[in-house]
Amino acid sequence: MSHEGAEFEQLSAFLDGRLSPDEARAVQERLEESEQYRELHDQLASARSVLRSTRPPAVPEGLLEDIKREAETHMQPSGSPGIWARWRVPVGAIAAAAAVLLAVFSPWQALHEDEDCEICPPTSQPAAVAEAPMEEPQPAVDEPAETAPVAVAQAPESETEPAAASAGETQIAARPATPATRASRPAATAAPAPEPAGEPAEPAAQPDETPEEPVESEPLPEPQIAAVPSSTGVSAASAGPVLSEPSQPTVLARAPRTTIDDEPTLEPVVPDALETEMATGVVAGMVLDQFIAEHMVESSATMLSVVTDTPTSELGPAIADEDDEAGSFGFSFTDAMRRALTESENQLP
Amino acid sequence: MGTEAFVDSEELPVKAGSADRSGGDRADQALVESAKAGDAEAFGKLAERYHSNVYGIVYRMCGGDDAADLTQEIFLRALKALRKFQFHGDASFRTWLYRIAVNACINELRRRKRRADVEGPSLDEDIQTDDGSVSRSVPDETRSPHVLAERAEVQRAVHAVVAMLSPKHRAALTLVDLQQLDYEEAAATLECPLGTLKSRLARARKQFAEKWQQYQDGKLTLDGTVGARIVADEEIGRAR
Repeated sequence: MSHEGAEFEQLSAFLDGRLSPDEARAVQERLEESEQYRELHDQLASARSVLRSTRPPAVPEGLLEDIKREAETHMQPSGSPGIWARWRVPVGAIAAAAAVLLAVFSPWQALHEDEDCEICPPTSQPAAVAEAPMEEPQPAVDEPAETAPVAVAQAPESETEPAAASAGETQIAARPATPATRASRPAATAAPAPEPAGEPAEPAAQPDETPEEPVESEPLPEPQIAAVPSSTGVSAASAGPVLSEPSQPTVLARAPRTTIDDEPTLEPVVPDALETEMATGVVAGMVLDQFIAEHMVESSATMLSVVTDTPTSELGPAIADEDDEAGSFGFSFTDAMRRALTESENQLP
Repeated sequence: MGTEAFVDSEELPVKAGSADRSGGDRADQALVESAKAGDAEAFGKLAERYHSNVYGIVYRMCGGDDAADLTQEIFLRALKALRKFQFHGDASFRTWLYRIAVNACINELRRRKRRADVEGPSLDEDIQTDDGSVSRSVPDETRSPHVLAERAEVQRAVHAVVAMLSPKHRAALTLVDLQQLDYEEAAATLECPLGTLKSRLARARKQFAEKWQQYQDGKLTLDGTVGARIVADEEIGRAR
């Protein structure tokens, strides 16, 4: 440090009272002796006085509130909600809309899945649902005949079938769906031989002939359900969908309708409840779908107004699309909406 | 910067007496611990205590144009770094906060310097010659010292002259003379030894005194903070 610099530093500290008593006394003595040193002191003292006389700048109104607000935003526990807070409303609305759509389409989809199911009975015929256990191939597999392959039961009218059955093919014939009592599965599976055409397989229907212990048999081929006309004259077409023709090579033919008087009737309680629920879902879905279709266009403009902090009047109404337009949400954004969205995105930090 | 930018009352910056500081530090410690635990209200109280002083530092080092925004940014930086702050030894929240403020101001001055380098010199800038800077403006002969003293423009002139100093000298002068911190706290804020602070302060006062004398003699015209800022930014470049 130069001599002048050292002098200034000493004078500066002297003005602030930061010198030791000896140092301060030395400065006092020199000030009395040197006019140049005194001028230097006066210049520095004047500058210091000017500096210290300045008032602090007035703090802008609202600065403290802005600081507090920003601090609160950043101190919220969910990370950076300052960014996401503005999306909270539309995200919530979207979530609610998604929940509604799920509520609408879930039962609808379930209904359509049922219709497409090859095994499930058509929902338009509740009686078939009630008799579903009779049409499932599992009982015949679980309770095989003593000798296999065997025609478990032969439909009365399938006169050409004995040859196929005797050739080692097994059939299950889906009985025409009629509200009736449950057939005796043990009797059907225990039928030793095909019965003559036109005669009910009475022996096969006798539970007394059912072996007490099921006999293991060779695994049956993949069963198929065949609709076999019953002796009552009900056609297969009227009885429901034909899932496989009786003439196909591997068919498990179930015995024709056999009534066991002492066997309890299967009450269709669950299918009725299921149907009621599904029907309710369908109706509710149709109502909600109509409601959404009617209000989606208007709601989209409101939602965008909230997201972009832009009045709805500046955005204009969303443009409704044709219902059958591929990939359409039911509406299109206006140019003003797109601009507002872009500006809103640009303002995100 | 208008005259309304300065308070008319006798409100002065918080002085850093050791007794006041220790009491303030204890109160700060409780607030800081609460704020670190997520108490936004506690941080708000800290902001209440120090926002005017931080704003004063920013205003005096960088001018009033962006002082509010920069002050807000400083508190946000402090909030983000708060969990790293520990009370031990002589460390105080106030000194730590002021350090953030001074560093933010120095960074802001450097940013302005880079921007000025890209945009080129201003027509308001003084002409640099071998004998020093020469103002482009005609000196205002009507500015006698007693008239200036009656004007709030004096305040503006002081800050314009301070803005001509290098960032380090500006910071020392701002903390000690304008914010009136004691040497120890100013040195802690600037993270420099006490002797270095004394030296910087003496040089800063000398430079200020010389320029202030030129201003009072009509040899230096201050055309607002822009011109003064550019001159000071050139000094930033030399200081680096």
